[in-house]
Amino acid sequence: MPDDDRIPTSLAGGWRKVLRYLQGREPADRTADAVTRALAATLRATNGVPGIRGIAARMQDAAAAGSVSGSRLPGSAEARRHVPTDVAERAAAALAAGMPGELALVSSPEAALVLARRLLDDLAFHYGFDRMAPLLIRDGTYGAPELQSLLAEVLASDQVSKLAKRLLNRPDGVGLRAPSRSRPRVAPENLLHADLGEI
Amino acid sequence: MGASRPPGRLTARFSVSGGHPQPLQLSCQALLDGHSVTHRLARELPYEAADLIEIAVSVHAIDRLVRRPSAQPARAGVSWARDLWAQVPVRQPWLWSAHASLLTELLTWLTDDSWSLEFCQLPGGAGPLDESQGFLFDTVPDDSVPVLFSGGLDSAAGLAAHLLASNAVAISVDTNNWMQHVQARVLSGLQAVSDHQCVPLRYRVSVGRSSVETSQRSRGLLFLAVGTATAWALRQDRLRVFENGIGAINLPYLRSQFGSQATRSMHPRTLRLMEQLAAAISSRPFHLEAPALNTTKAQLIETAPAVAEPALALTVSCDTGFSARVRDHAPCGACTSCLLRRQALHAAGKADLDKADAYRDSSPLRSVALQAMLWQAARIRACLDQADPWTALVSEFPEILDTAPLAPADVTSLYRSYIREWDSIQSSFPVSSQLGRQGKAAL
Repeated sequence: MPDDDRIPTSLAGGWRKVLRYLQGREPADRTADAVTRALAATLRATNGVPGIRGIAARMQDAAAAGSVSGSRLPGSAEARRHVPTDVAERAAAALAAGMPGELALVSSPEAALVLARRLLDDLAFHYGFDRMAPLLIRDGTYGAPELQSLLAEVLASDQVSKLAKRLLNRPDGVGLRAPSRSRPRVAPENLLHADLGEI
Repeated sequence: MGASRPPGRLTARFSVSGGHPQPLQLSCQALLDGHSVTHRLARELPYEAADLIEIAVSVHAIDRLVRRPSAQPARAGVSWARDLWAQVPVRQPWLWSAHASLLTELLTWLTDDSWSLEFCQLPGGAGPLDESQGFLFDTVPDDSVPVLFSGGLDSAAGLAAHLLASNAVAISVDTNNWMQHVQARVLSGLQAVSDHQCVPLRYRVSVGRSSVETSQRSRGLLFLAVGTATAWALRQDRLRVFENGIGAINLPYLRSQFGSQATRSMHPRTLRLMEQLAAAISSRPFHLEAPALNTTKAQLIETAPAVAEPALALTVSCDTGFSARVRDHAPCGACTSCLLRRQALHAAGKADLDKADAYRDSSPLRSVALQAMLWQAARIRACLDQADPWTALVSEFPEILDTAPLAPADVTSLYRSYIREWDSIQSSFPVSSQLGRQGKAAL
């Protein structure tokens, strides 16, 4: 039976910059900064995931009860209306099914942070990476394994982890900003003799 | 013999997001014609069967008439889900009201929409499936197994293998003359497979040109409802569907896909929910047999006998192959359905079933669908290379959790076969050979 699958590929502003960075093979940390900013902008524009702490609590309950029987947590029917919330429900189901033992050992705030971290990864793929990957592979910029490794490296960035913490404080996305990258201060006398590339 | 009645008019009502109810007239905005079925069976459909089909057609029409919200990526995070209310006249409203939650659960799963369904009494003789003429005699062999037949490659290959062992009733829905013609040609070709009989039973369903929504995710309900209802009319409590596991599970190619944007028409969960609904309505167990769920499309094709190959060559898989309503309209060659067909025929060593110039786009190198399929294959391969492939698959594709009650080991084995097929066709698959360096890297 024909499927007529729908495959969204359009990119919003901040993600187009990420695409340019990937096409230009910019360093991973620079790309990670662009990704973090694009994620923050996406969460502001889409009203975040206001119920993220509640989803995390249900995730721990489902993991403890072994009641994950599908790609959404029990009781998540309303999530279908709001894409980031649905992505969070899906992430929570995957975590509850895949690491129930680990989730049983962490506190509620820690579980929320685990979910927030995973949510940002999944939102990056939903709004960005998976819309770019076919293009990047088609044009020969990357092979699939290389691109998979690079994206994992980008998402492992501290910047993304910091944004996850900020999201828990601003779950509705209002005023959410990407953390600025802190750089070690360099004394003026050292700056005079420093290599520009290193700076 | 059926009683003589005037032709009926079923008028349902529907509304969107709590808006003003609008009428939906099945004889006007949508067409349902099952007279050839009732005449072939020489009996009226049981009440619950006629109700099931008319509900499915009403829902399908509403699905086509209501546009989904815009799919702009950052539009306040709004998904493509709709809030829909419908009131459908049926012969047994108390029965359907009692089990409405099963139907809405199935519909929500198929369409992502929130459905609220109400049922009211259908006046006698007012249903499109109510018969106004008498019958002759039943010509269907008693031991025939009801089988859903779409005119696609899976259903034809599965039916061909089935006919080696027993008789079948091939139940189909067509929406236009071209689709009807293709289905008839394929079925005619399959008669050569064996001495077993294949009786075609055909319904015509079509929604008027006022339809504005093309996603039609309720289509799965329509096909399964028609099959289930016809099985009931045959006094059977089972229906066979032939759909390969990769296509049925239909994991999202990209994580940008939301919910049922990756179609779920024959998903294992769809089949399970439909079984539950059918059992509740009929007060008897109902079995949707899907013997190919653990096989890839290539493996399913391989089960068909060689004598069936001319008929398989006539099948249409393309997403737009039937919708164009143009006779001999060539398949696009670049949609996910065409690409999976091409991949499967090559992997099964039967690529010559499709003519060299069969597709409008013979080298879909720049097709997003192809690149999405290759990217998905790369992600699946990475999961299968892990020490615990199932856990890796769950993490990468949470939707795989929806395949229960299929066993994780069987699902993992299915995807291992699928990836092996991609690996085996690198040199022969025309698309990959044209991809050159990039394609090899992606594969």
